[in-house]
Amino acid sequence: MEQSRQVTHTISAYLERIAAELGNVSADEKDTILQEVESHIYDALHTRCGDAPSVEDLKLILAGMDSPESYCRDQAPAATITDAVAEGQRFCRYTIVAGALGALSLTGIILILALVRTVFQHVGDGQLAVAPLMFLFVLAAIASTVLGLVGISAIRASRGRLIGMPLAVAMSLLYPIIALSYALVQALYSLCVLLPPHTWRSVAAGVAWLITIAVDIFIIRAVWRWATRPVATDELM
Amino acid sequence: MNVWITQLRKGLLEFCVLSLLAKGENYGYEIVANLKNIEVLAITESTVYPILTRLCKDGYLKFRLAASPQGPPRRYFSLTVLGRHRVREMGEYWDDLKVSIERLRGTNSEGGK
Repeated sequence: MEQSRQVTHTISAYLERIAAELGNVSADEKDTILQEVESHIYDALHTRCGDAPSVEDLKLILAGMDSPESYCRDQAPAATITDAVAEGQRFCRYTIVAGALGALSLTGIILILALVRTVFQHVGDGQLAVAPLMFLFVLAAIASTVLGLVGISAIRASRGRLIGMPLAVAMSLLYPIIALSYALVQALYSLCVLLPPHTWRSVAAGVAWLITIAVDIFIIRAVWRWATRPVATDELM
Repeated sequence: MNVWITQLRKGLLEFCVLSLLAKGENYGYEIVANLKNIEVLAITESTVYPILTRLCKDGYLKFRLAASPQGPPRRYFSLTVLGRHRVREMGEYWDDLKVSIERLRGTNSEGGK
């Protein structure tokens, strides 16, 4: 019984020292790592001396394992923006501007379209008043797409110093995907109209939407793979 | 030279862990034991457990808890769909890299003769 208590105590002390070394790791990750190490020690003890390990057996096993200090040398890569900033990485500026322009233009375009459809539907001339504003939002949309692409290149060339790839990809794809989806749905709908019975037309319209969504997913996956592919030497800054 | 080897090992560790788990689910102690067999990589538990934890967090691995004959319950790790995709991509890149470097080394040694 005393032997068992000493074994438990020695393991706890070893785990506490590892916990102290895992300073920058989140609490959840720290718990998981410590549980894994604890499980590892018990498995090693069981393999070495069956069900009744002694403190001497444990000390031999711990001596063969990594020192608690070695858990400090290889911290997990930054998982959050806060972690990344703490590790000297920064968010790509092109991507930040692309995100801001994308959000602004999307909101503006939706509001103007809603305005045109509701308020101006009986006042044709009133639509001219929002035309310059619409032009500016479309320019912002084009700029967000271009800056998204520039952001992807900059992040790839930075060798991990810049972050924000998901936002850069999202901004570079937002408007092309919207435009493509609209064109595809229109094209497929015009084909559906050629079908004779009305019941089949509704099914075909559903299929048109499914095809559009599938094409969108395919494009997003392809662009993501292209953006995150291994960096060739000539791409580096 | 030592720095280069350390960086190379670090880069390959994730690939090794995912490749091992591509063969089937496994628990920490066995994963470490299997990876220790690759002596040139000098893999130890202090590198493997943080990587396993991070791969779980990133969605490449999942785990199930199962009772152990002694000590706390074991985590049996296995690949998620994302993890299978990742290891396939890494494998394809590794094959391309290996062929390209072998070709380069072959060309260089022929040129040097």
